[in-house]
Amino acid sequence: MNAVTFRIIGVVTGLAVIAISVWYGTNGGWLLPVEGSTEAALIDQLFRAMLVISTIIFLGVQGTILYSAFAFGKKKGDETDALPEHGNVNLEVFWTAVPSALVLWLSVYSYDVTNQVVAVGASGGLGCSVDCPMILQNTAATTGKELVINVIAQQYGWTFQYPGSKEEVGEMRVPKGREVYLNMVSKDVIHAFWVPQFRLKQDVIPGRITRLKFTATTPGEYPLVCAELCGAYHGAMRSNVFVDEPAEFDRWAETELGIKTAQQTQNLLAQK
Amino acid sequence: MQTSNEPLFNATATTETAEHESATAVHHGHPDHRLFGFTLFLISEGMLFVGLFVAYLAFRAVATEWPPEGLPELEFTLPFINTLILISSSFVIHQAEGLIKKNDIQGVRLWLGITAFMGAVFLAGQAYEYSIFLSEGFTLQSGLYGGTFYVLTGFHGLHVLIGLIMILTVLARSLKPGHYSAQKHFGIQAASLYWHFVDVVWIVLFLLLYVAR
Amino acid sequence: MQVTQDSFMQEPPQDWRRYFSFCTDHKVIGIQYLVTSFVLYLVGGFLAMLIRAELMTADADVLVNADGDPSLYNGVFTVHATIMIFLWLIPALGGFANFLIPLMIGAEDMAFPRINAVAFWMIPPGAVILLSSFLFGAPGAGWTAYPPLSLQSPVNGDGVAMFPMGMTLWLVSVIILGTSSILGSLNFLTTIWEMRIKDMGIWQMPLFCWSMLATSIIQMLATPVLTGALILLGLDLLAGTTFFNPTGGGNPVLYQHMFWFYSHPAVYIMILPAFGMISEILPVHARKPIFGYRAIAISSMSIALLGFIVWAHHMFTSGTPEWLRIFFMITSMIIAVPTGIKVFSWLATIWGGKIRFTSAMLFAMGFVSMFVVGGLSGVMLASVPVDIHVHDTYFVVAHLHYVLFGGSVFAVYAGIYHWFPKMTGRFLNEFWGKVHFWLTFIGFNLCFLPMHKLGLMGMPRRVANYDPAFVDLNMIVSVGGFLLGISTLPFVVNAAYSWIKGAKSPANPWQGLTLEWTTASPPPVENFERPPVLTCGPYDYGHADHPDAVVNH
Repeated sequence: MNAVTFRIIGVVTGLAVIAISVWYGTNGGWLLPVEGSTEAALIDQLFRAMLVISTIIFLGVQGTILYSAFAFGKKKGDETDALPEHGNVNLEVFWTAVPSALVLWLSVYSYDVTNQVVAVGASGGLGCSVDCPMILQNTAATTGKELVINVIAQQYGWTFQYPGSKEEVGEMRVPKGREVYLNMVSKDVIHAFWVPQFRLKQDVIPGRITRLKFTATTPGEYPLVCAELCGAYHGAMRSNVFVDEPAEFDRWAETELGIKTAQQTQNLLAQK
Repeated sequence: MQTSNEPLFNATATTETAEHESATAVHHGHPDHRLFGFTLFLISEGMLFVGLFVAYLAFRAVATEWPPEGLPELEFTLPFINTLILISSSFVIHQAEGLIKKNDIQGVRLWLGITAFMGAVFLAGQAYEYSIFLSEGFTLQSGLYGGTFYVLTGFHGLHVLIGLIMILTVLARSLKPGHYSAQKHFGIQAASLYWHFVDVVWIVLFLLLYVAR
Repeated sequence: MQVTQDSFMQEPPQDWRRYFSFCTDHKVIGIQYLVTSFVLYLVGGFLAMLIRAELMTADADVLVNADGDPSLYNGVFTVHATIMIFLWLIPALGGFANFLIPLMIGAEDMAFPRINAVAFWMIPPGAVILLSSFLFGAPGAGWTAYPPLSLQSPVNGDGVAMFPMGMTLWLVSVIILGTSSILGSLNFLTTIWEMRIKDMGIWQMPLFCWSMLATSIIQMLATPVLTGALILLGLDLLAGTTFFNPTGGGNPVLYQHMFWFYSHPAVYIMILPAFGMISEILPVHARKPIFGYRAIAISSMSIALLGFIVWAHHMFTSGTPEWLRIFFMITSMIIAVPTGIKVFSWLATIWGGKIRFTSAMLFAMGFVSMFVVGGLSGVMLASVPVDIHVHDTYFVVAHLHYVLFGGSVFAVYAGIYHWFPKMTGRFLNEFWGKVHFWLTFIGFNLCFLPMHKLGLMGMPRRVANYDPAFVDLNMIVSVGGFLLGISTLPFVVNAAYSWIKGAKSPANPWQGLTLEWTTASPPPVENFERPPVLTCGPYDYGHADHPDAVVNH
């Protein structure tokens, strides 16, 4: 095989790998559950970008190994060594520089997503923050438009307290399109609030308040999963989050909780 | 756990195997690596204290009240005297290390003895401080304040005790004629190095606990 | 039978007994480490089978007591992880280091043979203590033992709190094993740094020694911090202090910082020696010099150093402040660069080689192939937003097994096939070696590949019961897991049989160029009959000017 043919095959293979990777990466949705929040859309985009890059590297590496296995196997009876090649500075600089550039780009992109999610959630990086005097606090002051819910975790269940109601209920309902602001406390050990469809997770730590912000986008019933080992029945510490249409949510709040967030949600959303 | 290992180093270094090992060393011509290894061990041991110190600083940084109400402030005078004793003892043991290089075994015994005495005084002072605190109801269980105080000083005190035992062992061995010489005195070097280590840890501890309280 | 008797006749009659004694020969200690850790690997693997049996159904129904309490399940995965980390990978790789370092640098033993033996003999008590916790109610807080969960006393049938025996045993065991690992590292460092033969400068060192240098620095500096954290945790548990107990004003997140300050570098303790072994094995069986020797050596050191400033990427959801999360995200991502350098260098090493497909080479190539998957998912996990979604899910379980099983365990197998002739003087059977490889490779991917999707879809880790929607994928995972269990059988039989009756190996069966191949197989007690001399670099394949060269072009 002459050098030109070899190069052409190389370039074609490279382009094919990239094409397959872009196709696979951008169609990575089958790996993930429904996008249920504005945050989820942003995070998924980042995930797909990483999936494209990963697929290129994956195919490149596995392809090289397989090709080597077929092309560079020892011929029968050949007991000689291969040509002594100890390195190639250009090549080494290339595979140091390109991954460096890639991870820096990914870092910047990830940072950007973090901030964009903040912009969506008003403030407080990714909507999560923690009360702790030592650290720079996200003084994520509520604007008054958010629905603030207190979340109480304990072995092995979740309860919720809505504004205007002293009662702790075992059911979490949030209206579609309105920002939700969670203040989370734990009564015993560390738990973690995770709704896979929202792509958001935050540990709930005894002795302090942790926070989470999100805006649900798709009505439906989603699992609320405890994601931090919390004891024997950790796996059973599952509950549901219902995302309702605003009017439906208002009705539920009024009938079940006896509070008049009703007008609020609809009005607030109308104001936007 | 950590602490139970030093005597071992010492044992490999200075017991009857020493002759055997030096013989093989001559035979195969490789030098003595014990000091190198021992230094690495002390660096490793130092990381244990670094971990504890950082933990202390982290607790201290978020504490709103230090000491919490109802618990005594740490006294300054006694620990300060103790600090002076421990720091000077480092110079004292350094004398012993210098003298062995001149083969002055009498002098070595004398200075080692003084170091051991100073170490014992330090421990006694520490014990006295503990006894006063305990009588005031300030214990290991007195929150983070009590916990960090007793863990840091206790761990350090344990190391002083081990250092003291090392020094006494070396002292006892130095009574055997010809055990240490200008050429062969790893035991003395190790004891001295360990003592300096204990000293440095104490200086940091003293600054953190008593000065920057 | 005749062969067996002959082989026993030539050696002192008490010969096999030295493996059960306080022997200070680094070769004996190395084999002691390897065999002990492999036995414990089988125990840990058995626990993994139990976990997979439990997860074949969505409900907790296998590892439960009469009341349906799945505490036992938590104990099983806690001990599984603790064994695999502290009693399998760290000591197994330490076993290779013990056996190989003095041989590779031309020394007659380790710098401190007695401390070396002590370090090994701390492993069996550590193992016994850990396993005995099953008799008292195993520790159920995960190998991470996060407080306050790890501080909760078990409750008996009447609701009365009992003494936390399981947790106490776990703490004692891990502290013992950590100390053993520190003692080992002091030995490795001193030996590599001080005892190389005269003409071996650091740039003539085999890459395995470089990786052990990096590993030992980590072990020496990071392990004591874990010890400190565990001592404080133990005091909280037993002495009524409140360092990590929020009910007394303690800070549970501080424990996580101290824990991961050790435990992230601990990942490098488990993978850097594997990198080193792969860097040894690939050139020998590809008959080609390692590509980019210096880059690989430097990348080992930079991974070790960077490893100290990435720990909080395990804590992106622990309420870690924003600027810290960004800092740790960037450092964690940067680690991909030196790791990538290694992977690409390995590929360039086999590229254009004359590859001999021995079992060792298959496992080494399998290592590169599988480790890359773990590396890529590692970069995803380093990114804060993605990690927030997949943290503490099966995605992480998949990632860590691709690194530590597809990576480290494959490397250990490669190392065993490669150095078994040197250790025992006999070959492992190649046919069964290849059967072993393919069973492992298929079982491994069947077991761990679907876990990525499980995690992304919403299955948290460390659960005995889960959303029934995940049953199908979990069934595939379990089948893969059982296949992995079966895959060890041909190996165990092969190793036991070959050790006694395998074909005899010459001193240098693979025509390797590192110093260990210049002495007899197995090496004599003093390692080398005459002081070894460096006649060429460790990877000078294809050069005509070295005596062992098999060159013909």
